[in-house]
Amino acid sequence: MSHDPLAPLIHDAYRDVPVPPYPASAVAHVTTGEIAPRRRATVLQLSFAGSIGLVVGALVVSLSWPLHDRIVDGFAALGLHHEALTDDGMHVISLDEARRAARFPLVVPSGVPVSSVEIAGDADTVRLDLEPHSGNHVVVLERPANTATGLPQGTWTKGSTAITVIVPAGTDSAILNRIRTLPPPP
Amino acid sequence: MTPDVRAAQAGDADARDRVLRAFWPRAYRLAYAVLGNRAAAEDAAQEALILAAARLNSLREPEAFDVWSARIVVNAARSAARRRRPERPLDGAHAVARFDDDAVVRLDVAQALAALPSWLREPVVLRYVEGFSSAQIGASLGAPAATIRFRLLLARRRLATALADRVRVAEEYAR
Repeated sequence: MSHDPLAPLIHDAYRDVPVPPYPASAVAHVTTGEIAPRRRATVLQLSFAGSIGLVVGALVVSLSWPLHDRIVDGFAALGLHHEALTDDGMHVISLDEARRAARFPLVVPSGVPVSSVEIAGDADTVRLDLEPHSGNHVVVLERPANTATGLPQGTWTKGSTAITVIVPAGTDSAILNRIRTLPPPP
Repeated sequence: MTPDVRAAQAGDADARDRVLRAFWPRAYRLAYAVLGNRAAAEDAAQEALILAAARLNSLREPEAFDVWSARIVVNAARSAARRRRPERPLDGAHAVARFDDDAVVRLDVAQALAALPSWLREPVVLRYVEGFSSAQIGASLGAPAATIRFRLLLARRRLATALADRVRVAEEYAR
């Protein structure tokens, strides 16, 4: 296993954090059953929410399809039709959209299947998942904001084969092929 | 820990007390690392402690207590962060209490960590403070392990940049 120089720095930074006294009285409240009213209140809230949901669902079902289509068109006009937010704050978009939005050229060699493309809100990071459903081929392109050149970097996070990632090099935006070999899987 | 968790679930009050008392410092340090504020961390850790006490019997796999309880802490810390207005990103009182080299390093690390967005800071804290694997972090945060590895990759890169001098020193010590 490779040495990670960050590990001792971060671990030590929190190892000696003084901990406040154990809140015995707060825990005792739980064991004496004071949480029960809250549980009943939660059940009531869920029942109420369920009733509201049924009413809203009935309204949606009763909408005519032309109106539904208009609503969908409205969302599409807002540009929300292709985009979804992942749990790590990345937006799922198409490769073409990523090429337009990314703050650096994004080129994938022909013949390499791209199953999903995600882009960060600052458009400085793009993640390409290659080969559908395998989960074995992920390439991350990121343009560090704090470097002098601001050039993107390609980084394999996992994979078993080499791939050519084309990124710009030099201040004149010339295109350079970078052939990246994969590190051993973690 | 696992035998105590089993015993606590079976109704052993002493075992339950041992489990919760052992959980408390973990909960506080984890909440503090996520929130960067002592008062908010204490509130979040206490909320997590109460929830863990109330839900302990619902834990199906006692050996998963660490991951399960970490998830409770992270959720409590997230709720606390949403309730709080943006303040100073770091309460470094503990770090500067003794203004020696170690304290300065801790302050640097805490500041670098506080500068990360929460979706990067949480996996870093769980990796380095709790010692979790990517799969355990994923279970705690409700995300796939591959997503966690991606987040750690980005976080490490940003931390390495922010802590470049400290990392160089640590690497020299490691040689």
